Parts: sequence; C-alpha cells; structure tokens
Amino acid sequence: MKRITIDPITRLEGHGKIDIFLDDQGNVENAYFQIPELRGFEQFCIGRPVEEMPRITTRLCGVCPGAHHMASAKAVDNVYKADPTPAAKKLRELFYNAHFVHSHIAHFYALGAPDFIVGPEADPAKRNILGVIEKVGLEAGTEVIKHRAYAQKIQEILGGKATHPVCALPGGMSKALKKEERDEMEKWIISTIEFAKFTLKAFEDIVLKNQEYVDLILSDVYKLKTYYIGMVDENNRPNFYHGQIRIVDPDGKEFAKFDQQDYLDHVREHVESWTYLKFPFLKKVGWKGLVDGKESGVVRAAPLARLNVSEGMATPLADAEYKKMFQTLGGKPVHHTLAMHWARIIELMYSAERQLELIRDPEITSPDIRTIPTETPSEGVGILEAPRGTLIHHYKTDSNGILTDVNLIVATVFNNAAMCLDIKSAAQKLIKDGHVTQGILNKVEMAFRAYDPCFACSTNTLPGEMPLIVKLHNADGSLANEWRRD
Amino acid sequence: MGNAIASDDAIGLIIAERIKQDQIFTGVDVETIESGGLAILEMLQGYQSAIIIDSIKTGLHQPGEIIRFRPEDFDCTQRSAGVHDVGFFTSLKLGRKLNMKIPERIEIIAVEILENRRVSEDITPEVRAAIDPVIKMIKGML
Repeated sequence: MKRITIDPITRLEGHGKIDIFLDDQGNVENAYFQIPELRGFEQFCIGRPVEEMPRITTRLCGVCPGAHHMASAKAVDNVYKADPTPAAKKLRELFYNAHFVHSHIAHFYALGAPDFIVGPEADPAKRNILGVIEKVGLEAGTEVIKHRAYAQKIQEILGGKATHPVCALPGGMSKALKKEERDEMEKWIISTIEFAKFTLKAFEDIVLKNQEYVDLILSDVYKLKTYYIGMVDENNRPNFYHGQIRIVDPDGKEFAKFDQQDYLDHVREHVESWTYLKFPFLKKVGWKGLVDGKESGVVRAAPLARLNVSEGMATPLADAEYKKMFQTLGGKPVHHTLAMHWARIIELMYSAERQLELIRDPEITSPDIRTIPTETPSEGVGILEAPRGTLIHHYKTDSNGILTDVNLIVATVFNNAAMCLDIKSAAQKLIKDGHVTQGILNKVEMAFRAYDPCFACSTNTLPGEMPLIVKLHNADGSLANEWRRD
Repeated sequence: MGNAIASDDAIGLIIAERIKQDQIFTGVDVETIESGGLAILEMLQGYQSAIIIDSIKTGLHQPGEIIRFRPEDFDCTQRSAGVHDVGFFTSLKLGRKLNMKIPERIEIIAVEILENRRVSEDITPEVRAAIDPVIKMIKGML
C-alpha cells in the first residue's frame, strides 16, 4: 500500500493534513482528513463569569469572531433569561449580516474563485486572489477590497471593535446606533447590493457559461446524499441570527424542526481515535460510520445546506437567484458540494439586502437596546448560522453566573464527516494507477475548500514550514516521492 | 499580531501593549490585531513604514530567540492568514497591485515560541524574556 500525504493544506490555517492510502494497484483505498484544534478551551472557561464568554469566544477564531460573539451572546441571554429588546435584536442582526458579507466576499474571491477563475489545474503560484485579479481586472479587485471594508466598518461601528466585537451584553447591546451613522451605513449597503449583483454576474459569465465547470460542479466526484441543517424563519427561509433549526432528509423532506434549546434531542457527537475533531450526527438516525445516504446520520451545514432546508429567500434578488440555482442544478435538494460556492454568493446578496431592510427600519436607531437581567443565571443555549454553518454554544452556571460547563459545536465540525467523505470520493475518482499531479491534488482539496472550513482558528504564528507537502509512501512505509508546493 | 488566549502566540500583543502603556515611542501608532490576511492590509493602509511583531514556530531556534524578516523573505504563509483568508504576504502583493497606499518599508520581528495550540494566557518564561530585547531592537530601528 502507498500513502500520499497532503500536509499542511494550502490556504487553510494550521496543520490540516490529508492522508490518502493507495492499494497495490495504485488506486485509492481510503482517505483521512485530519486537523488540529486549540486544546483546553472548555477548561479555560470553567470558573469564569459567563458574561465574559462573548468576549472570550471571539478569540477562538480570527475569521468568525462575529459568529462566536453573537452565538455566545444568545446563550448568555438565555442563561440570564433576558430577552433582548426588538431594537437590540435588529442591531445584532444588522451587525451579523455585515459579518456574513465580510466573510463571504473573502471566501469567494480569495479561496473559491481561484479554482474556477484561474482554473483547477492552473499553476498553484497563480491560483490565488492575485491570479483572480489578473483575470477579472484591477477595478474588480478594488471593489472587492472596498466592499469588504464597508462590511468591516459596519461591524466596527456596531461592534465597538472591527475584528473582535464587544457590543453584545446579556439582554441586549451596549450602544445604540446614531442617525448619522445609520445614514452613512445605508450608502455602503446600497453599494454592497450592487457589488453582490456584480459577483453573481461574474459567476454566471465565468462559471455557468463554461460547460466544463458546470460539468465539474455536477459530476459525481463532488456529490454526497446527506441530511442538511440550517436556521429558518417562520416561512422556512434562511435567517442567520434567529429562528428555528430545520433539518431535511436527502430527499428534501422535513425531518425535524426545533427550537435551539432542544438541540440535544436531535444532535449528538461521535468520536474517532484518529482525529481530534468530533463528528456530529443526527441522534434519531444514528452514527453509521463515514457513509452518506438516508440511513446515515451524517448531516451537512453551510450555505448549500441552508438553501436546501429552505423554501426560498426572504429578500427579492436573493430569492430570484435561489430559484435559478435550483432550476439549473436539477431541483432541491442539491447534493453537489461545489454548488456551495454559488449558494454562498446568493447568501452574500441576501445579507446585503437584509442589511438594507434593517437599516431602513425606524427602530434601528432606538435607544431602547437593553433588557436588564433580573433572574438568577442557570443554563442557556445560543444557536445561529455562522458563515460556514450552524454554530451552537451551550453554557451552564452556578447561581452566581460562574461557568460550570461549556459545550460548543462549531460550524466546521458539522461538516467534518462530509468533508472526509468528499475528500475520499474525490481521491478515489481522480487518482488512478498511482497517477498524481498537482492539478489532481488541488481537485482533492477543492472537495473540502467548498465548505470554507475553519480550524484551530486565529493562531497567527508565522510559518515554519511550506504551505503544502505531498508525500508518497510505499507499502513498507518508505518514502517513494515528495512534492512541495510553495 | 497574535492570539491573546493561545499561549505563546500572544507575545506580539503583549509587547505592543507594553509599548502603548509605557508610551515608549512618539510619532508612532501602536495597533494590535488578532486576525491576518486582508485585515492586516486594511490596517496598514496610509502608513509610510511599519514594524510587525509576531510569534514564529520553526523549531530551528531557541524559544525566545528574536528573528528579523522582511516580507520578501516569505513566499507565502499559512497561519498569518485568517483561515479562509489570503496570507499576509499575498495580501501585501495584492495591495501593491491595486495601488493601495501601504508602507514602503515593512519590518517583521518574530519571536520563536514553544506553545500555540493550548488555550491559555500563560507564556513560556523564555518567550516572555524576549519582551525587553524586542523593544530595544525597535528603538534601534526607529
């Protein structure tokens, strides 16, 4: 048996590693996806006041601190049984949709687009955001930076700090929105809707009008029939901040719909000895191993899952694009993993449109932004949709609000099983007779990149090694070959 | 740069906070950042020169050893990128390509660390010992 190791994965923080095991014929027998985690977070939190959690959890991730801040805030609201005022909820949702815009722009242009705009088999040195800018032009690059910055400024104004927000307090927000800030934000948001239109048009021109790419999206290489999970509003349309959790089966039928505090009735986690990361699964279906299908409890989160669990989008332009996506890709649910990229930019449009609705709501500048907690703290769950999927924070405290138990199921973990399955599927279908090229390896990486995974977040340490090392091992463990991608 | 709760990874933040608190330098802005990639590019905009203080984990140096770099020393980086972001040095190239006003001179001071995967506010003593030497080094650079 030969072993190919991709370690660490390019464009993914930390030491992610893919191990591909070949049989004697050089075909893929198995593939494993392993990632590191920051250790000891739960121990670090226990014994601290629960109201510190919205600020501590932002440190878990340099990419999605806004998601952790808001999920944590919702959990703390529930620990104190302090329902935020309507204005506070709207401010949080406004902040949160700006966070989505910021995140989705970065993923699409920096990580997703290089595979399509520059090409999945292009020179790795060019297959990055610089290569994208070369193809689409400097002006487009400037627009990318500008609209990311708009989203960042909105988060900064509402959140107190751009990267690590400090705005949400138990029962509400720390600061109201001034009218002049509102007026400035409205201009940025209107511009962002135009930018989302540009992005969707670019996707149509570059990807959808290229039959080779459409075939790639629709190929069996990147296809899993799984359950899907996401948060929906009262009309079963995605809402990233509040609503109920909806799960659909691989046929698209509703399997469950529940309030956040009931998540343990539906979701459990499986542990494997070869990885630090757990595998969430549907309790009522059960863990059947790393397999897809209706009999397997594997469930997927993230943009495509959110659209699969929904019956439309709550804003008009995003809804039109939603309908177009499902018509183009053969109806709902779509099981093709690479469709995640399209779903992501549909969400970009939704987030921009939703921000405009919120900023034009007269209540958004209300000073009534806090429900003062009066109850004895005990236990609370906070669930929302992070850009990369459903995110769960669950805290228990003593009567003084000191943490006694912390459980987090982060969005990427929901997709852990699916990423392992997708990588194995891609490796098995693309690597034949031991033939491995950089293009093939990149196509294997594309299987998990679509999920926008986020591991061992926010460790900023400079690199001590190359971004990608591929090792080919003989059956006896000796090194047969090695590739390094700089 | 760094992460306040990832053990030694906080060293850059701690040094920056010391510089700020003690008002050691005049005519400079001191900022901390706990993400990477495009966010750093946005932070650097408008400045003529910048000194970045960060941790590094090579295993080739003693913990606490200070290493100086310039951006051109790196072809890429995985970890000074936010996870789904571009690397810091790629983002610098992007900024220059887009004619953004970013510093002509960028110096990087990196402190070799031991631990960055455990959630903790504790810093390895050898790494902490690098605080004063780094500040002294910066004095010589300004």
